[in-house]
Amino acid sequence: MLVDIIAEVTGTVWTVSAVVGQTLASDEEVLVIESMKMEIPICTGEIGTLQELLVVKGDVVQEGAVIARLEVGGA
Amino acid sequence: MPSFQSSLSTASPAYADNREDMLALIDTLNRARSRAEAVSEKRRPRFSERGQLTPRERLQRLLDPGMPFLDMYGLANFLVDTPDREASIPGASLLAGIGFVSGIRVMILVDDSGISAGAATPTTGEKIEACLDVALRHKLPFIHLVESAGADLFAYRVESWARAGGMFYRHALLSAAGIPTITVLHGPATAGGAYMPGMSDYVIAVKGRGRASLGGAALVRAATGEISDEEELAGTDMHATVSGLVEYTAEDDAESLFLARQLVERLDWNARCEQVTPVSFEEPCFAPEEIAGLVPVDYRKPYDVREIIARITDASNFEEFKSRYGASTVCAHAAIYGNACGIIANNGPIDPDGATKAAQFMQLCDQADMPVIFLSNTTGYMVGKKYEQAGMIKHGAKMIQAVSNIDVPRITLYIGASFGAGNYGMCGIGYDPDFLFTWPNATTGVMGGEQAALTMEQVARSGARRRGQDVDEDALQAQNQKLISYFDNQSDAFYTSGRMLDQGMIDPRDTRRVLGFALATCWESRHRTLRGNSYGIARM
Repeated sequence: MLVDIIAEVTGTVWTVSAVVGQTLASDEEVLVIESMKMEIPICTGEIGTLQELLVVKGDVVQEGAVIARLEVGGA
Repeated sequence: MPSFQSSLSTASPAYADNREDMLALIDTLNRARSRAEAVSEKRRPRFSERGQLTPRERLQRLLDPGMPFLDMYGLANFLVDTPDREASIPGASLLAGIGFVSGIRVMILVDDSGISAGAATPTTGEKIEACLDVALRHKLPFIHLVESAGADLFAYRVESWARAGGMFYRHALLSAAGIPTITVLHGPATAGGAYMPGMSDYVIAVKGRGRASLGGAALVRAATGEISDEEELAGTDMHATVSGLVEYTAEDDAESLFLARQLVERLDWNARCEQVTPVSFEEPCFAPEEIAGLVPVDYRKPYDVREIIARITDASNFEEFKSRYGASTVCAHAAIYGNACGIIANNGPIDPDGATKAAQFMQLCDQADMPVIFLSNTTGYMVGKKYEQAGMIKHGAKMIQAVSNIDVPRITLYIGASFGAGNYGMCGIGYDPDFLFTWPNATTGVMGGEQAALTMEQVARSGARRRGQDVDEDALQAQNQKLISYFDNQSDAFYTSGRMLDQGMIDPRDTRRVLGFALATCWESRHRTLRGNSYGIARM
């Protein structure tokens, strides 16, 4: 099953820590959004494989936007 | 059992890194303090030669042994004398703080006459006035150990002199409010400084050393041609027997401090203050020591401020208020050394829900007559379309209304970021908190240096576009760098504390003790009845 990873805040993609194809643990950092002078980590909600990464460093993302998709549940 | 479960791992690399960074900042603070002491200590042979105690020894003799002393404005004038933080001397040639004398909580000022003979720095007058304000607000008897060369005539500034009148104005207010003021004259008090004893309710002076005159022998000769002897012009014996300025004389420094302690005792000051009912409390379940490794010194890195609350509150026991509403603004009820209090803290920027929650919580604390502690760590009120449309301004304004108008003690700690109007809503200096201390990692300013630079870069680019010109990229980059360092330099806690934008810098691991002392001081001042008058005491 594909799960959307959502930007929790409007901001700029500061660093991208994960790569497509990578297996990520639950609560593992995918990328960091810089907003209001804070570096806010965006993490997975569960274990899975990173299927799609829809942003690159420097992109401005809106709150609620899908920034990545995670394949979970051994589909 | 605390309700809060800590997720801090003291074995993690982040903990070790944070701790190393924080201890380095604490070390910078301690080095600065030691430097002031070392400079003063160099004059020890001169003090010994004259049979005097050093300023630090005087303070020690005055204070009750083993009792706490809250140093105040300890970094005043830091980086004002020189921008070099490894050379600057903090303190503004004064030692100051709240401590106990004969069991009475008092405000103490000591001229650090080991540094430039106690001559005033550009921040000295401001520090004296700030301490007098603390004494008035918290109803603390005021004791000043005087020995000062006065102002350096080569560094004279008309604005400093004119504003310095506020010192004596405040002395008059204290006396009329029914708060005794005591001067111990260990050395010279000349010109304006002579009003320090002049305005005090009680003067104790040391024979052979204490001196007070409007003009010293040199000035008198310049003004009138009269040749005079310092002792007949200004000496302790003359003032005790002829002018009537001195109430008590002492043979030496040690006796003068004994007399000061005895005088405070005889005032029976605590007869008009309710006695504290001792309450039992438990220490936090999580060690305050861990605060050093818990907090990243870079405010950009988020952490959970509840981890700090768990390390400063009794039994680490606190109850969050509306924890799921405006969640990045944390409000909680807790107790510190048995004093019930409300705590407002931040996990980042304040959004409209966080602002209204904080405003409501402050009103509730006011209703319950409960002090509010602000752990300020916010990068400001949220900006952007969504938040403006949600009424960020009006909701932030409610928070600022509440912080301004509640009538309970307010104690602020700058523990990380303190930006923009977030500084105002979280009871920054402009809101006149009862106490305001800073951690060494704190960053305070209207905005971050990078944001300021980026804003001005965009203004420059659109201006150039309008005029149909090309942008000079090199010049723009240079401007950015300049603006970033201009902003960041001023937002540094050592810079702001040196300019007295707080009451002092503390080791974060001492936070619980400092808050406990501040809460006890506020409690006492609000349970003390003063016998004021409309005139202040006149020396006859």
